[in-house]
Amino acid sequence: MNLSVIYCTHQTAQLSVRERLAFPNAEVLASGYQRLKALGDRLEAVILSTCNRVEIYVAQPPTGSVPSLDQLAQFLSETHRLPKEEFVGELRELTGRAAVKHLFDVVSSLDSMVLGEPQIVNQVKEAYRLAEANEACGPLTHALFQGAIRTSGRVRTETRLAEGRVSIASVAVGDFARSIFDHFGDKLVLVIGAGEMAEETLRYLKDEGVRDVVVVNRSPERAEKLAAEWGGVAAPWTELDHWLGRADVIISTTGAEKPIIDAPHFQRVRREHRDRTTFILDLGAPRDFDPAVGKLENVFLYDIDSLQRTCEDNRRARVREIERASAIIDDETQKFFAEFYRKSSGDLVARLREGWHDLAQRELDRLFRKAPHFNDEDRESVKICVDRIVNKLLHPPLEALRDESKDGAPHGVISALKRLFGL
Amino acid sequence: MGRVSVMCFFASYGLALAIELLRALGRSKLQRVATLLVTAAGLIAHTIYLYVRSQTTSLPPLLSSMQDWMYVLAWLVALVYLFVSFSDRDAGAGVLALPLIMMLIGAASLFSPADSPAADLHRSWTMLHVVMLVFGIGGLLAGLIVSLMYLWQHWRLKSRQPVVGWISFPSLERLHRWNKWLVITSVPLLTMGMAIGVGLVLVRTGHDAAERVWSDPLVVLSLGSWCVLAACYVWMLVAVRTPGRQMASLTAFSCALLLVTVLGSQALSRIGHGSTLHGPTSSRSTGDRP
Repeated sequence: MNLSVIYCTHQTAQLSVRERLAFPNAEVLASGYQRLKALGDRLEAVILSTCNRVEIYVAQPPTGSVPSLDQLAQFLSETHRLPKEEFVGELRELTGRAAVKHLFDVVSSLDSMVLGEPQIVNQVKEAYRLAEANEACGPLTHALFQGAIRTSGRVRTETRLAEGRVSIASVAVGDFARSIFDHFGDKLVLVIGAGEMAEETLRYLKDEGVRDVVVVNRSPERAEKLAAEWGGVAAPWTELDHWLGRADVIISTTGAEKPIIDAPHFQRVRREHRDRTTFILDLGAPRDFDPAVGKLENVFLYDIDSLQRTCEDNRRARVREIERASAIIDDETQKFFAEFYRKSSGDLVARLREGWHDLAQRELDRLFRKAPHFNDEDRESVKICVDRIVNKLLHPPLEALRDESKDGAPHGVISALKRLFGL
Repeated sequence: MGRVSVMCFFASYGLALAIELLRALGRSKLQRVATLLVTAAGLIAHTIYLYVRSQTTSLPPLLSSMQDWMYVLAWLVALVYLFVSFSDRDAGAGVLALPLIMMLIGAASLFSPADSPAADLHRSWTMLHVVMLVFGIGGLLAGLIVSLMYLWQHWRLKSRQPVVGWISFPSLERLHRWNKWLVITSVPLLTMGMAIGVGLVLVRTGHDAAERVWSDPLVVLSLGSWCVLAACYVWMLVAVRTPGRQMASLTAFSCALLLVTVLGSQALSRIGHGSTLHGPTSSRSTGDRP
């Protein structure tokens, strides 16, 4: 099989290398495909470029040969205007079966930084779509990527590889906040501090429909920046108690050296709304809320430690599924190759059949020229007879080829047929 | 249709429960569909059984006997469970609803299949009394399931336990809303049902009525449970916000009390430790009725 992949991923190369080799937008990608086409007339290619990997899949019909690692490194060097020496050592190359298995691992998220993460399958689909849009796909890459998407679907439905959330923010919102509130459109979210994790949590909450966001921070500039980014309002630090008393969801990430809210303080500020349920996500280290706050009625307090345990449990549960996912990938790789060999021997069969029937037709034409007294009925009878002889002669070698294809590449039979029949 | 027996739908619900419990090994769409299909099959058999019973006794199931009354109650809970499961795929109520349905069917064997004397007199009022009680109790049983789901979810969230795949319940907010509406609709039905029941007893037994009513353990214990529920009801209507956990605890307690009361008093009356106005008539059999 004329198929190979060159790649650098989060496992093989630093981010500084990956970001320089990435195809960040459609223009760079289109120019990349144009350059790749110059490497071979019938070259098929798909470029997969995400924040964690840059991979180039190339394929050629059996008569051609795929570009080498050096040629593709040169291509990357010219496309990104980078000296080849700066990154060529970070590139890896796989061919044939290993390349197919690698793509199936990637699309099933076995090769992802976060095992089982769901984005990669969409990224692979998008890469395939863009390759098609740039007219860079062919029969082999179509079969390969459709097989990859099918494999990903099987892994997702037949294993628990994608079950359970594994980031603090997603566990906080998905496993806990959503189990408390039915909808978030009418909930007031208070963000205390302006850390990165608060932003990530806000992203998940926005996905759930949160509209009202208030950011309270000691630095008004940072509060305003975060509030503007998420469509909320910034409030001065002096209004903290006021908003604490009203909020339904509180995300705290101040970086204070000791808890800023204890249970009596919280009870006091919630006096008017004590019957309202409050979800508090304390992302501070050390914690911003005294653990005693979590013991109050209608208050659900979660800190990093409590969420981290869930993340770890979910990660371990995913790791336990790797074996089952790998078995599916092996099975799909096997199926892919069986189908590939069936199709490739199909070409040989067609050529063999065509050659013999051409030969038969030429002999029939000669016969009919020498026997002009044959009427149409005679000619038809002779033609049917010859066709049947040709088909009967073709049957044993084609049957042998079909049997051989079931167990892998029928190289022996193919080369024998090629030599015997001059194909 | 006449060959449909109690065992048919009891076994269907049992099988549905077994499939539901298999979720512990991993959730799948197929399991959910299988649970719903088997439960639906059980409900169809259940409906056919009740229909055949009503044809045999020439009475609606609610009037024919206390046993059929319990089967109707189980049928109602199964119907509500199916509706909730279809409308909310994550409801996961099967682990609570299916055992309750099976328990009601099993408990029906404690009751006599013989006719209730109430069926003879004031048929329309008796029908109204029973319908209101059955729908009221059915709503409260659903409330019991919802309350237990609430309490389990509340415990999980307070103790910061992750979601267990096979016990995935709706949010506290939604469960509280369901619970509130179940109590708000069930308590008036129950109240009216009980009031009509007391009226019927007074009419039936004349001057001895008051004494007989207050000596009937079913009436007395039901009234006790009703008082707790009525308190919940008033609290819900008066308070601007009712704390969910207390509400769920109270509902679960009063519903469970009511269930134990109804079943327990019937069991006691059957073994001769008390007299009840809701007992079977000894001189009749179900086949005698024209």
